[in-house]
Amino acid sequence: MRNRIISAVLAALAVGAAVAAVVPRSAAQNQFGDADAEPAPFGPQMGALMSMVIQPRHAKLGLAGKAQNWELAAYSLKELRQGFAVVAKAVPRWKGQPVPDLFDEAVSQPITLLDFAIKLRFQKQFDEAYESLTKGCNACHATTEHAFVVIKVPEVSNFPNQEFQPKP
Amino acid sequence: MRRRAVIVVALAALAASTMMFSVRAVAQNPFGDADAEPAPFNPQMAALMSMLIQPRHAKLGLAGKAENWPLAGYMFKELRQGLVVISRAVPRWKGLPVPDLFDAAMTQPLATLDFAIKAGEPRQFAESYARLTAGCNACHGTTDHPFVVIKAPEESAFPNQDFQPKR
Repeated sequence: MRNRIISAVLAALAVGAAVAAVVPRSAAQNQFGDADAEPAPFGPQMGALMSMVIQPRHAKLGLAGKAQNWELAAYSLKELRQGFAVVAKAVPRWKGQPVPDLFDEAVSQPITLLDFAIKLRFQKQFDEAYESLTKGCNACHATTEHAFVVIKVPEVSNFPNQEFQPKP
Repeated sequence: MRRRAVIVVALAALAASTMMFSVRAVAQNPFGDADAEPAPFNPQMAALMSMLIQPRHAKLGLAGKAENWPLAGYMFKELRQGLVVISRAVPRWKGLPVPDLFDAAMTQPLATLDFAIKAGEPRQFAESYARLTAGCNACHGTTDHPFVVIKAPEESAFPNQDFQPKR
């Protein structure tokens, strides 16, 4: 019964969309905007900034540390920390919450420990601090009602055009 | 005689390349001028597609495949918002009306995807997601980019993100 209802609703949606497709829509009715509007500056917000500036750097840091490529790990940590600063400047408040303070609470301590572990080239300390950093990400996601965005330690590389192993 | 001619030609080529290098230094460098003022980052269609749409399309597919409906709902919203952001940043691309292209390619699959996610229906999600992906490729075809072929992801490209729902 439920499947029949769902099929009926989907069919209705398809018919509605097909009708809409042949009836010209005004710019105001187009959910994506108006082709004749002036181009607007690109101002990425929290979701885009996290995906562009934080998530890849978090992954690269983990992969570099796992490979004991300390030079790359130090660079990736610096980039990640800088990424947080960039996001906090671009979006100082997100849904009313103070972004620099959220970051400070979630990642300052793990970043200090990571910095220490990388400079001393301590794999075990790096792993622990990286785990703690990752937990900080998820704690912040939970605080900001995004608990379903779950960050974890990467096991494999998603950068097929980058070598993470240190030079022999 | 032939040897002298070769030397003369070589000297002329050297002089010409030296001149070209000095003249080229600023005006002809295809990458710009090191002494120019920094310009704001102003990504256009290809960069926006790679930054905003492709990752969100992939994450949406992975969330739906894992039946992680809260995450799928969030990625769906982000993907739709990404299309709006691009429409505003590049309302016309090579003369073509971008919001209208997105509307033709995406509105129907987005409506059915929204419904499938809210109903938590994996089969309808998979069908709608396939239609969404077909919409991407139809639009690429319309805009003379049929060689950019999008497909449903089979595995995650985000090893530091867990797509499984919380138990």
